[in-house]
Formats: sequence, C-alpha cells, structure tokens
Amino acid sequence: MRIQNLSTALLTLSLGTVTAFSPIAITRQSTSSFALNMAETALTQDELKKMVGYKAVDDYVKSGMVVGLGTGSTAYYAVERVGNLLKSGELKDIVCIPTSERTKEQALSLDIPLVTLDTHSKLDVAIDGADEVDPSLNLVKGGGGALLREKMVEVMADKFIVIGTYNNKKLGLQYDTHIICTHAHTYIFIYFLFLKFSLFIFLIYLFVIQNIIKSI
Amino acid sequence: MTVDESKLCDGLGPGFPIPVEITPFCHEHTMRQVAALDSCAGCKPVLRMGSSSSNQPDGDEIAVTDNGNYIVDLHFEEAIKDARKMALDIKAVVGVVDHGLFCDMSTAVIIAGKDGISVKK
Repeated sequence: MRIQNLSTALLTLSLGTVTAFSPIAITRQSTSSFALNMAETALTQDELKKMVGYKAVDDYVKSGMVVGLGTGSTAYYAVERVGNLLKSGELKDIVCIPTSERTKEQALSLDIPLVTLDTHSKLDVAIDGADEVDPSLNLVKGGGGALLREKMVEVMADKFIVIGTYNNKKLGLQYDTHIICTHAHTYIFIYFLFLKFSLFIFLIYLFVIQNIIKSI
Repeated sequence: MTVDESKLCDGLGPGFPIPVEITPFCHEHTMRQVAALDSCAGCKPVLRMGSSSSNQPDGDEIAVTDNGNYIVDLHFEEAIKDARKMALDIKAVVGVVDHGLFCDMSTAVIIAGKDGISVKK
C-alpha cells in the first residue's frame, strides 16, 4: 500500500514536472502550431493559392480600375476571381493588362476586357505571385519566364500586391517558412519529449502496481 | 503572426535562382559579362533550356521568352548581400533586357498558410 502511494506520488510528480517545465506560452504555441499543421494538411497548395488569389482581388480591386494581371500558378486564381466578379456584375468597368501570353489567353477565355501599356500607362493595382521574398519585401520573380512584362506592368501600378503560400518551394517566401519551422519544430519537439517522459513514468507506475498485485 | 526580424532568412539567392532576360545576339558574351559583375560574385549562370516557363531544363533548344529573348538563371550558393546594387549592376549590362529582382516595388505581400492569411506591408 505504501509503495502504491509512492507510485501515485511519483506519477503526480512526473505530471507536475511536465507542467512545470512547459511554460504556458510554449504550451499554447506548440498546441497552435500543431493545430496549424493539421490545418495545412487539410488544405492543398492549390486551395491555399486560390484563397490568397481571391482575397487579393476582393481586397484591392474595385470597379473602374486598371488592373495588372500576373503570371503563374497563384496569379492564375486572381485572374479567375476578376473574371468571376465581372461576370456576376460585382465588378464593373474594369480593364486589365496581362503580363504574359498565357495570362492573356486565360483572361480572354474569361471575357476580361484587355488593354496594353500603350493605351494605359498607369495602373491602379497589379496582382502577381513571387518566387522568393526577403525581409524588405524585395522579390525574385521570373521562374515562369514572364519577368520583363511583369516588371514593365507592375512598376507602373499604384499598388503592387504580391501573393504567395507558405512552404511552397516554387513560391519561396523562404523567411516565413523558416520562422514557422523553427518555432513549430522546437515546440513540438519539447512537447513530445515531455509526453514521452510522462508516458515512461506511467509505464513504470503500472509495472510497480502489477508487481504489488502479484506479490499480494 | 508576428515576424521576428532576427529569424528572417539571410537574403535572396540560395533559395531561388535569379533569372536575367538577355538578347539572343551573342548571348554567351552577355552571360559572361553578367557573371563577371562584382555584385554577382560566386554565381553560376545557367542558360534556360526547353520551356521558358520553367527554370528546370526540359528540352534541347534554348528557351525563348514571349519577347523573343533568352533567359540566364543565376544560381547562388550564398545569400545576396545587396540586392538593390545587384539589380542596378545587372540592368546596366548592355545586352541585358531585364532581370527578376523586384526591389522596392511591392505594396503588400499576402501569404496563405498554416495560420490562415497574413499580410505584410
């Protein structure tokens, strides 16, 4: 009986240790990182691209604007959104300038009215993806080969909105990826270390109990 | 999400090669001129082959852009120290049409990911 009490105390102690060694901030962050990882697996890269492409159009494109349309797998969804909103009538009197032949074809298929820099040198907004972004928001673009037209168009836009997704090799945003990985991995590592530790103690506890029962 | 500046990556370059659009006329010469720039020290210039829309070689022909030009991808092992200077230096090489460094142009960067959508301005 005395040994059992001791074991219970040991278990309590081990759980107490877990709590004591994981400050609230870390516990919260590790849990949220974990939840976020789950969320990420739930959404595919394409769904994330669609989400961000749509948001950029919803937030920055208004009726009557001259809009620059980017090139690439993320910009694709922004173009799609402009087409949809024009069709539904939520956006009116928009003209767009495509940054590549591919984007031009996509825009034409969605009945988006197109112009060129020759007739419209100033744009209200341009939306495009990026291959990599640094802390000062400088970009590397042109993995898709459309860099010249992209730059010619986007440099003339009052607002240039860059869209991207995390953990996408092609759409870099490397620094964000690093932040998330560093935090999440460390916290999850610590979290599981404590879980393993308490499980270990619990198994010892069961083993002791079993022996006591046997001896009785 | 709060961005901790100290945890940002060292800089552009190693993560993704910098594309440079050049004229087809004497493109090998232009490639050498670009690679010889002080601000591009340590880079490995690779002429884009196959499809112009991918920097992975996927054909035997030199890739041609929508504008009829070639692309050189500059591969870096180490982070670029001064992207702005490099942008100006590359642009100043005669034979270069433009490059993929977009400095001081973006108004906002919207990123979708683990914690939903975050915006950086």
